[in-house]
Formats: sequence, C-alpha cells, structure tokens
Amino acid sequence: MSTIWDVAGREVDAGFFGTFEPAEVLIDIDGPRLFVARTVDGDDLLVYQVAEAEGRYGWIVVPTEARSIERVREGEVALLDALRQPWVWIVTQSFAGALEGARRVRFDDLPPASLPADGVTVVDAVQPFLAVRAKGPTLTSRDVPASVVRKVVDGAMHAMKALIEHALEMSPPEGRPSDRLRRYYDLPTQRLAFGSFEAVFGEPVAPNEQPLLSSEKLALDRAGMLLRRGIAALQQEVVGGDGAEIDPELGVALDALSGLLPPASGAVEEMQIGGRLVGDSSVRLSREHGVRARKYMRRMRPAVEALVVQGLVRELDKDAMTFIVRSADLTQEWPCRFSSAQRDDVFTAFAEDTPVAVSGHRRAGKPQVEVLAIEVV
Amino acid sequence: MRAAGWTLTVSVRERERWPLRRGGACPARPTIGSLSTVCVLCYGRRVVSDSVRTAQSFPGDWPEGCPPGEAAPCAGDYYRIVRGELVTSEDLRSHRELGKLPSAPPCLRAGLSTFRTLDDAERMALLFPVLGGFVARGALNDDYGVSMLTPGRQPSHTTVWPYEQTHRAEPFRQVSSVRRSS
Repeated sequence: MSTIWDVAGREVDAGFFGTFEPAEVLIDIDGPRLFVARTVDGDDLLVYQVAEAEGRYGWIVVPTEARSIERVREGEVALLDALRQPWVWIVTQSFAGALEGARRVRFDDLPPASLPADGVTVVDAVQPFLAVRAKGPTLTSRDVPASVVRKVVDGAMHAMKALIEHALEMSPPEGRPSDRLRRYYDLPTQRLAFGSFEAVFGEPVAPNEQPLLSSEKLALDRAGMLLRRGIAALQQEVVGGDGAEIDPELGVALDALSGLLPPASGAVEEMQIGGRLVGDSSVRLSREHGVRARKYMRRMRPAVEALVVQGLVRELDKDAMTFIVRSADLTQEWPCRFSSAQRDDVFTAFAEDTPVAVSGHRRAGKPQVEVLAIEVV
Repeated sequence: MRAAGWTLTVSVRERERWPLRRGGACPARPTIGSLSTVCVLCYGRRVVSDSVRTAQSFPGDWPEGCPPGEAAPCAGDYYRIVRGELVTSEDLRSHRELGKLPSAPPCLRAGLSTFRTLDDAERMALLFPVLGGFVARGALNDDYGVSMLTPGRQPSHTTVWPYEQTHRAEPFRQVSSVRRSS
C-alpha cells in the first residue's frame, strides 16, 4: 500500500516555508495538527498533518488566504475540499522541528486513506435551515449530472413552496405577507458540495434584516412540523395506516417531500435531508420511501382537479404571489397562486392586460388554482 | 490539585469529599494509603504520608505550574483517539515523552489530548487518519490524574495530566472503530 512518503514529486527548496511556526493553530490534538503558517514572503499556508513515522512528520501544505481560512475555521467548507488543489507540497519535519525537505506532488496521487474524510468539517457550522444531499454509487466529486443538481434544488424549492403555502393558509398573516416571504421558496444557497451532491440553504431572512414577524415565525414552525409529519409517515410500511381515509394535510406533506425522494431509477439512490427545518438529525430517504409516498399520492389524486381557465389577470398581489383571473364577461373569477418561475409571465399578462389561458390544478375544497403554466391566447 | 514535595494542596470540594479521620486510612481514598497523623486534607495544606505523595505526584521534571491550578481531578468519561482495538501505553504517550515539538507550550506537551464527547473524538479521527481509526472510552476518576477543558475549536477537547504511577491504558477498554463513509 502506498504511503505519503512514497508519493512521487519534485523537490523544492524548504527555505520557502520560512520558520514553519504556526501563526494560528486551527486544531491541536497533542500538538498542532492543522495550522496556518507563513512563507518567507509572508503569504498564508494551510498546513495539515498527514503522516508521522520514524521521528518525522509529514505535512500537506497548500497556499491559502484569510477568507479561505475563515471558512475552514467556521466549518463552512470541508477540510478535504480546502486541501484539494491540483498540486500541493509535502513538507517533512523532524520531531524536533527542523524542516528536512519539501516536494511538490499531485493531489490525486496522495493516498485517500491518509486524507480527511469526505465532507467532514473542522467544526459543525451553524445548523443550516435546510440541507439536501443526493447519494448514489456513481455520484462522485467529478461526475454529478446536471439533472441531479436540478433535482436537489428544485426539490428543495418545491418543498418550501408547498409547506409555506399550506402553513399560511392555515394561519393567514395579519396584513399582507412581506415581500421576503418569497425567499422561503428561493432560499439563499450557502454551500454546494460534490462527491454525492449536497445543497445547503440558509435562513430566509438575513441577520441584518428586520426579524420575522410572529405570523411568519408561526408559518415557518408549522411548515417544519408538517415536513416532519410527512417524514414520520414515510417510516411506516403503509403510509397513513390501512384505513381508506385520506388525510389532506398528510397529502400536502408528502407532496412537499415528493421532490426530495429518490426516483425509482437513475443515479440517485438515496436522499438525505437535514437542517433546522427537519429537526435534530438528518433523515435518509430511500427508494422504498419514494414508493410508499407515491402510493399514497395515487390514492389522493382524485381529490385534485386539473383545469384550464381563460380570462384577464385583473388583480395581482406581488407579495403573496397570487392573482385573480376574470372571464371576459366578468361572470366568473378564479384565484390563482403562482411560483417564482412564472413571475415574469404573470407580471407581463397583468401589465399588458392581455387575455391568457391559465392551466393548473385545484385541490378538492380549495378555491385556489395552483398554476402550472400561463400563456397568452 | 498538585502534589509537591511533602505538601498537598486541595480544593474545598476535595476536602469535603475526604472527611476528617484521625490516625487511620481515609475511607474516601482507600487505595492511596494511610495518613501520617490526621486526615489533614480537611484542613487544607498539611503534611501527608509518603505513600500519598508517591501515588499522586506528577513527574518532577515537569514545568513549574504544571498541571495548571485550574485543572481538576479526572471524573467521568474521556475519549481518546487510538490506533488499534487494543489500547496500549503507546497510545497514551505525551509529546513531551516522545520528544516531539519542543517549542510547543510546555505544559500542554506534558498532557494527553482527550475529548469529553464521542462525537468530537470521531470527528477528529475522521479528519486526521494519522491519529488512528479508533476511539477508546475511559471512565476516569481522581486516581488517574487531573484534567482541564482546553477547547480551542473542539468544544470538548480536554487535556489530561496522569499521575506518574497511573496505568494509563487500563481504563480505556471500550474501543470503537471510526468508519469513513464512501
């Protein structure tokens, strides 16, 4: 088995690394294991202990800068990702502290078993709002199809939209929901990680913004509870029990989860979802969970009506992302809810006052049409 | 607590645990030995027997003020990253004993890094395969030595300073493997 000492490389002058004294120790376990050092020119280096044998240390050294160090320190980036560069230096140092040599090697030549485990950070970053990871044997750091990236991002957006809309219906906010509610559907992305694919989303409200209104907090809490209810239901062999009764709220939860479940075939075999919205620990969702959810959704389907309505967009609420279509003779009207993807089409139809055909679906007992498409007729 | 020469300074809490007993063995610390006249620890700083001094002393060549006065007797579970399923004394040697990094902080070099939570220890084992792929749990008490939280970026990182006569590996019997996911 190859070791770090055997990795072929080009010798370089160890004098470049200066005193190799830690300027900042990031991890100390019986001595520094990860630290920042400075070159003779004062540039920052990230130094990681990779080996130890026969009276000497082996260090991986990579160039770095303040922001990258901050991201390692705060757990925003996995240590392996911080070290991963096309080439790195291996510096050998005696136990007494003297530098014995340095060579430049290709990162890909380093034995993986000597490196930090994939995805592990120095500390737990502040728990994200929502984290979604797609896993599968063929999903490696260099081979993540765009369709997988889209599934993760679309799945998260769809889940948030379904959950928040339901939560707001259950407890409408006093006055109009603020414009920033839209961010629930379009959460700020904090991090993307490859080698499996993970997207991590932050809070919908940035720290320097006005805090959430109590009604917004309530909606968010309800959304989380609903999501957890859906996850708990999927742990049962028969979702919702053996009874024929359909629970509309469970249907909303499973609809929200539908984009976060692994498809029956393809590269993604498992999805992991975590973050504050999900609870204390992340949850693994398998294809079996997907089968269970789809089975329940099929039972629900008759309760959903597909329809196409025609008319003019006469009222538009940009904040609530709703509009009203009125028929040309003003005898009928349909309240509709749209997503951010349809925003431009809706705004144009409203501004130009042109007749449109709106296709979508409506749940039994609900007046609102969930818009799938809007076209000028 | 620190043994130095013939005197032993103890904290108020320690004194409470070791009640006054004239001329006999202290019931709270039966393994340490008899006291010379009275269980003087109850009064603070007094003379103690040679056996006490030997059992609970630190190496004489450690730096002045080491372990720090803030260190407290070991108590509870401690987790140490080790290289194999059978923990040996080699897994519990300090940088000072191994002659490593002589310019590092001298008192920390004399101690052993442990963690108070399994999660912290496993995270570090995953980050640094060089340390070993196993985590050993040791239930330590005040016979083992003293310890102090030295967290840095690892919230439960704790330095343990074992007494000179402590069998260091003995309590670390429960070992689990740290698995790297593919």
